[in-house]
Amino acid sequence: MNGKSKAHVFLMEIIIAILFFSIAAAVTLQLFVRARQQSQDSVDLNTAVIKTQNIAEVFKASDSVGENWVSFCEENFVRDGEDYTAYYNEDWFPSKDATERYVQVEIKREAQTGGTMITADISCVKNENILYSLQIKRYLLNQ
Amino acid sequence: MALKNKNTPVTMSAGITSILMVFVVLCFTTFGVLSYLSADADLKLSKKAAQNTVRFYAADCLAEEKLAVIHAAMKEAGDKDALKAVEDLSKTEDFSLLQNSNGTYQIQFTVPVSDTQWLEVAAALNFESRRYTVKQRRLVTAVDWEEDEITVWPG
Repeated sequence: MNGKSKAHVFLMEIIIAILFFSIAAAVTLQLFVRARQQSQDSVDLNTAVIKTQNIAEVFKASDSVGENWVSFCEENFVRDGEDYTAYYNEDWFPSKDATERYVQVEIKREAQTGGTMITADISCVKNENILYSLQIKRYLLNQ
Repeated sequence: MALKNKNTPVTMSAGITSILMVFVVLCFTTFGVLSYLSADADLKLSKKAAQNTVRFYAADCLAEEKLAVIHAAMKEAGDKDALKAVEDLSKTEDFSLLQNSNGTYQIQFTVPVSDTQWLEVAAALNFESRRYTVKQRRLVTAVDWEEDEITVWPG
């Protein structure tokens, strides 16, 4: 009788332990999922900043009309007038097909006294959400 | 005596289950909280770096606009003295016009990037061709770098 009673207590304890463990595991699992999401957001933001800044520096160095800019665009972008788009796959490697991750550059030219102000709006987009955007201006003196 | 010995493992197991469960749950919670805090700190750092980059390029855009204003002043002077036009401009705007030892002129201005940083731009002016050449564009930090003093064993 004593042995049966102890077995019952043991079983009860295991049931309670499993119940408590499941609740604790569910809560902890959520914490892990959130941590993974935060980490993914951080990776996306860092990548977006690097890609945007890279384009910004090429734009500034080549003043948007020079050979460097043209060859850079031909290698990396799909051109539509003054709008340039570069597509990336899930690992942020360049992709030839249109994807949900892309960097878009919109160039506007404004004639001013003695020169032209060229503005580039660079946006890094993932699933229709703008991860990061920069505006660059470059004043070009007329020849 | 023999019966008592047979019952002993059952009594032991009952306590061990709870202890194991508490230990595993504690481990899970600790690792979960640590990974979340680490990921959160990484994201905050990334956001701060991204914000700093935005501020730098915003200041850079402002510097380009100021250069355009200087160039426009020289161009609009027409047949009049371009130097006079830039001198007038430096009185109204926050520009400083300096004359170098070789007689050439240089204009300088700063654009704030943050509370502790600013962009310093200097351009050499050519009044004959009414053009400028950017000579300096640098990010200056107001706060001096403080070195950590490490006590080294003198031997």
